[in-house]
Amino acid sequence: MTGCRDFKDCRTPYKSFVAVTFIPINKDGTASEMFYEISLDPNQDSKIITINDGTAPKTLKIHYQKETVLISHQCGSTYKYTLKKITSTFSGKYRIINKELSILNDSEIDVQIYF
Amino acid sequence: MLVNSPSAWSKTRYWPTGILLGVDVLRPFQYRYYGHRGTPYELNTAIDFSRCILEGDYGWGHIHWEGYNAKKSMSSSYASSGQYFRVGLNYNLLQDTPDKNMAFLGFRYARSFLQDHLVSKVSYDSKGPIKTQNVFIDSKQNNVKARWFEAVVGVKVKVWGPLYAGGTLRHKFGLRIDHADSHVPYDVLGWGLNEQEETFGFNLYLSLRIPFSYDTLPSYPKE
Repeated sequence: MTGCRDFKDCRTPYKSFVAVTFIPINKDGTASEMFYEISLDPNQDSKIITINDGTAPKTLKIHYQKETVLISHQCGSTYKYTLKKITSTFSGKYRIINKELSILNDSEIDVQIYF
Repeated sequence: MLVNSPSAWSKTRYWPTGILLGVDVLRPFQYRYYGHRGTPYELNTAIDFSRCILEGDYGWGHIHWEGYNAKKSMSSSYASSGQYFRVGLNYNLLQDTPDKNMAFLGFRYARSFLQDHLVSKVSYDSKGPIKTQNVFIDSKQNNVKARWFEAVVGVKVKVWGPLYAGGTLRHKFGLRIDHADSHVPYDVLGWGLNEQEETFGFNLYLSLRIPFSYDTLPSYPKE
């Protein structure tokens, strides 16, 4: 049973970043979709993203929860992040696609933001 | 006379004929090998209602895991203690054998209540080793609750006198853990290692059968 967790390279499916796509809902169709990987801080429970689209800066706050997962006693632990909610100072739409941040999810994108 | 009346026939057929009180003889030794130790125990009881058997288990104990990462000179430990129960019904494929043997299929609802303690370092993420820092973790949780379901198959046969022996093979699924906000429990009492969505388990029971007094009546009406 111990062997089941003793990966030589101690791989873990849990990500410490959130993959975000910014999808513009512009009228002229010139802006393109943007993709970012935003690292999460284990000492915080939220991450603030500032969006500067030429007007007044807008902020988006991703709230998350962190848990420690013991991979194996030989490997040590990792963090498992779960997205709880998103709040913002603008009226754009956003969607959490993956609540649990893992490379095993069907979608590589965790959050979509339409602005 | 009494057994020939329809109500008495029904009574003797569907009322329990006895109760089995057992202990899992393998469970205390399950955690006594390299890397972890502990002494979990499990009791089992079963009562028959014709082809249906109402069965329940109660377990308790302490589990302690420890290990060492020589590459990073890092030790870790995980301790868990608590109790669990399972309750459910079996369908007995054997009926009215002289020794009241059982070969059954069944279903269980299980709950576990535990407290656990993890001491480790956070060293890895999905991209591999975290080189910049290894965060020390000392995390305790006192009120963790878990529930799951089981599909079971097993036998219980008479060995000698009131002594019965039997095994139950369990397919466990549908694990849900509540009140584990600090870390993910590594080992859930009654379930096992918390690493997969489904798992299997086996219990070997040694039981004592206590017959009820009306067990002496025939199970079927005399023509």
